[in-house]
Amino acid sequence: MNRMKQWVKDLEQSLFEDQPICSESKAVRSGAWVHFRLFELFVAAWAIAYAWTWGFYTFKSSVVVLELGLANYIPVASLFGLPSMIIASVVTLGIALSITRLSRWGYLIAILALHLQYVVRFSQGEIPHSSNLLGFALLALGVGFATHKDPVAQVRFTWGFLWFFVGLGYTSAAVSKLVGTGITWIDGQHLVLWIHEKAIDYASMTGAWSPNVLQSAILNSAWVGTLSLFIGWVTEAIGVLMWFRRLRPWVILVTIGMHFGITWTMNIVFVAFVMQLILTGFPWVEWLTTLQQKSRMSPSSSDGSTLKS
Amino acid sequence: MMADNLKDTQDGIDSKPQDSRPRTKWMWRIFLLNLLLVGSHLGEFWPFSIFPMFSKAGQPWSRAMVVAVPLVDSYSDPSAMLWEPLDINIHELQAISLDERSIDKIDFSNYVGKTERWTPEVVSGIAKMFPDRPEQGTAWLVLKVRGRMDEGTVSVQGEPMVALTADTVVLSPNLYPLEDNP
Repeated sequence: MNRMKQWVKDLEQSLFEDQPICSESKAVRSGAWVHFRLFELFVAAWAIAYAWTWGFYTFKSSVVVLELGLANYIPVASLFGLPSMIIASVVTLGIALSITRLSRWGYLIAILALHLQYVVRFSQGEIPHSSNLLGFALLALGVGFATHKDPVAQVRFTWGFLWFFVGLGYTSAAVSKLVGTGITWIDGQHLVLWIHEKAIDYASMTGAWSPNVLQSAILNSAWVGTLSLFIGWVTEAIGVLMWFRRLRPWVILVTIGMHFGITWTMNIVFVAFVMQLILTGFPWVEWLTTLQQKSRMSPSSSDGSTLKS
Repeated sequence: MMADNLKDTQDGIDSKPQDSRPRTKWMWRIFLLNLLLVGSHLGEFWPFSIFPMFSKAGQPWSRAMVVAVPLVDSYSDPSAMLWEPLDINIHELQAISLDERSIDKIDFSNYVGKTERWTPEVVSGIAKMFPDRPEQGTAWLVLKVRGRMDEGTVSVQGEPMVALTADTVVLSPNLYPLEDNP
């Protein structure tokens, strides 16, 4: 029990303490604040775009094929069309209230409304996961702002919460594969079957499809497919290592590589996922602060005669 | 007011001691909520999920695709070659683009794949989706494409369902409703 408590304490230390906003350097803290504001803008832009895109789509919907989330308890068919425009407005207003610091509750209202919009839009039978990472980010902001008044605590909670759920999500995906198929999941023929499926989709959409170099290699040798699936599975499995700041950039790097791999093999593009990983997964604040300090200390920037000589 | 709020926050970041501790118990509460919601809603409660995409490998799938073929006179004859299942050569896939005709590929696949009773209304529904028609001497074959894996080998076959020609739309004779089939 004590060991468990110590593990939880260490994990919390890694998630919530080891952050640039806690730095002793004022320059680093200011950089961390700017980075956090950019992150808020990123989340705001994507969440508002999703809310309205999903809302407009519901004008085409007429029946509920699949009841997701809250759709199990409320008749979402009555929210198709104009009501979904109201939901999109609530998302937009909630985000506007919190990003301008007029209310701490705006982000929380926005994530609840966006959940509703998601279940309304995707009651048509398709369950995409392309927006889940963004959903975690808005949820992190929602809970972080609603439960903290202190701005530093808000930032620390948001980052820690976000990394906990993002890391957990990737590892969950790896576990799901073991549960759904077992260790034979990595059989390269499975990837060959998926490539065929996506190829038909792509050709049907655009009129033609031909394999790229990676796809050709996998179609010609199932071993290449097995290796690709093995690397992809291991990358997902180590997702929880994102919980640790020192390992995070490396895990993020291979995760971004995995997303590009999925794009090259199965034509599935992860725009929001990859953008969010790039924006949040690397120590931009430390890098930029170090760069700034180096340029200040460099003789060429402080002593013009160095250049002349 | 908004500018004042932001200024206050900025001042807080600059001057606060580093021990502005977050209430971590809220993360654990949401984590438990996540387990509860995902466990009781088939693994999905956005944004919470067990991320089951691609978890079941090797499952057969069905899609729809439209291909152009030379028109033969006997297209309504069930024994004609036109209605024979086609092996799909993935290395040189050519199809009629649905995007160019503003047809949603998922909707189209569902329409073709999930229809069990091909009534005249269903067949004309396909025709209505297409704003244009093939040239004379060519037919657009609507294929139900099935992919499967048998003993480690992948096979993909297209079953012709409907043929659109310059002036008509014809259902595969193999799909006539049972009571119409002698």
